[in-house]
Amino acid sequence: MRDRRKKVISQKKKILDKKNISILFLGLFIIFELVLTIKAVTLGTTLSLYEKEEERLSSENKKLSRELVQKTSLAEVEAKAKDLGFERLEKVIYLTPGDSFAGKP
Amino acid sequence: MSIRLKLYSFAFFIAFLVLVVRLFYWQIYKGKELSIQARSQYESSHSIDAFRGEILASDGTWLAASSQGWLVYASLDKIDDDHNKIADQLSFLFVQEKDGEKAVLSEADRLKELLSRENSVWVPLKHRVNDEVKIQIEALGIKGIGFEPEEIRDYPEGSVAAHILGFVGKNAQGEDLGYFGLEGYYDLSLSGRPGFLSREADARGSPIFIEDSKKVSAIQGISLLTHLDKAIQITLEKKLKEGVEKYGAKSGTAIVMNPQDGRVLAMGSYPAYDQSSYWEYGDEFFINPAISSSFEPGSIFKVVVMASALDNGVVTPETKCEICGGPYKVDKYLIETWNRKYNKDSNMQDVIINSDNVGMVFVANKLGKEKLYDYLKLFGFEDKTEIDLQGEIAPKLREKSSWSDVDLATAAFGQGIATTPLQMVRAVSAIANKGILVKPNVVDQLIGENWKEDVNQKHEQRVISEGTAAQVTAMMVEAAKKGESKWTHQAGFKIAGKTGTAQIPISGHYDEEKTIASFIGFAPYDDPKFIMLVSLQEPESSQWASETAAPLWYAIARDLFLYFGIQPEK
Repeated sequence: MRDRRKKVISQKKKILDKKNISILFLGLFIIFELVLTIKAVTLGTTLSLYEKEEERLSSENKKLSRELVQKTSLAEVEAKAKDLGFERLEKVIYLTPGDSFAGKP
Repeated sequence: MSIRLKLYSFAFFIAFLVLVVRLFYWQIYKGKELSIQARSQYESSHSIDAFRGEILASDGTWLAASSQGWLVYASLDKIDDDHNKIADQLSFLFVQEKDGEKAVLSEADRLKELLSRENSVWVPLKHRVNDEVKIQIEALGIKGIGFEPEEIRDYPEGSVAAHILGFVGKNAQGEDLGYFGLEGYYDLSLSGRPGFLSREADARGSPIFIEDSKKVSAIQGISLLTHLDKAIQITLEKKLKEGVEKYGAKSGTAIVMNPQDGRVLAMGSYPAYDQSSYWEYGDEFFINPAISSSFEPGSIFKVVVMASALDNGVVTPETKCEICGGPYKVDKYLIETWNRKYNKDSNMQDVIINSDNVGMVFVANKLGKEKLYDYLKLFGFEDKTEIDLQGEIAPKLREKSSWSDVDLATAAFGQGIATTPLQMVRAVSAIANKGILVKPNVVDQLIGENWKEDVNQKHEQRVISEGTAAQVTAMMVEAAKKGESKWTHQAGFKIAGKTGTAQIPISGHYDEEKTIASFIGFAPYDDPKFIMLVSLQEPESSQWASETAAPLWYAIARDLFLYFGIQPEK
């Protein structure tokens, strides 16, 4: 009975000896490193996707800016005004303050 | 030891030796080369674009802006199709329809030559094509044709304000560089600085975070908010073009400025050029005549000489001209009036109204050479105005000690003396601005990504007293109403103005026929909103400013009265 007990204790000692603990830590470290690497690679891919999206938006922004620049040019506005039937004034009439204009009869 | 064991040992030894030699070859002998190759595979680096700053009109709309364009290139080793066929297809897209068939054929020849280059792998075919052209080329599906992003400089108003804006060309290293005008003067600020990103990437190009990366952020170009008023600029250029054509002038220049603070509202010359195709024009088109050309101002200069004499107290508006009864002889030259009519009892106001050359000689003689020289220096005639535009010149005055009697007499009516149109506007602004000389300026604010900074260009200097300025203004008001250009005067408006017809010196003598016709004026004279100079080179319909430059000045001014809300007096 005593011998069997001694055997169990010595087996427990064997499991918790320095070598096994080192292997355990090494294993954990490798797993941790692996997880970190996977995480970093995933982040890289995510960043790459964000960068592509940023590039797309930036390109679209530039395109819209260019369109805005062209649409707000006075030459463009003048052409549009002409199409809409607006005309340049040909004669200016200045009214003296005392004159009644479109007043009641 | 058995023979078999020895053989195995030997074989292992040989294998080990081969392995060592091989490792030495790859790691030591070829190590450096492979390391570079490997780095190029896992290291991703690219520059971060810095767009050129924008140039904005006073209302915040664009005069110049940057946008994304494309460089079309050919990777010659990847091209399968016939070179001639590719050249024909692309030439239609690279040439504008308005340029015609001849331009398409010439472009096709250029492309054929580029595509058949030997000893070349990569050939740029066309710079700065827009998105629409890129899409059309992509639709053709030509193998070996690629695109690289490239900046395009847009001028949304076309050639408007070309002389003020300048253009963006290339320097000797093929980099963008601003030339002339604002693009040239503010090139460093407008350009910005591209950034750089270097990092390790996996096979798909995604960044690897566990390794170091280097990033230098791009500094975007600074934008310029100017005082330029698009509406005035467009009106001025349109009317100037019409005026040059109507009066058969060789060229014309006009400047509109606020005389109270020197803000340049518009400045234009005709003929001009189109910045987006500047390479099609000769160098002479790029020079801004308003700041880079000198001219003899003629009678518009009389107001400056009169202001100097009044300020010095040698004459008053009531002083009688003692020599105005007939032509006046200086040395061997006879000074005459422009119409050979003489007014014996003229006072100083009459001298300006009648633009009397003899009367001005009287004034100059009263003032004297040294004092006139000092006043001209004060009015800024020998110095640059320091306007923020590239290419300004400042014609030199004759040395103070070398002025002869003839020089004094001719300077009195604006001949034998050179000035730029802007110097002239600045000097007369001092009269409009109660005697204070201002510095002309174009840019109001510098605008960065998250900041704005006012450009403090204020520089004021008193050159004549307020009373003198008022006296000369009153003379100019009468000159506009009763002078030789009275027929075109806009009655009821508070205008101070003066005509000037200068003869042009050619090979040591003045040409009888060719003149420079100018009109300078400001309104309303008691609180001026603008000062404007119109100058026409060699008008053919009439050599006189009163029949050319003056009506053109009033034609532009009528639009400005409406624009500024200037009401008539009565």
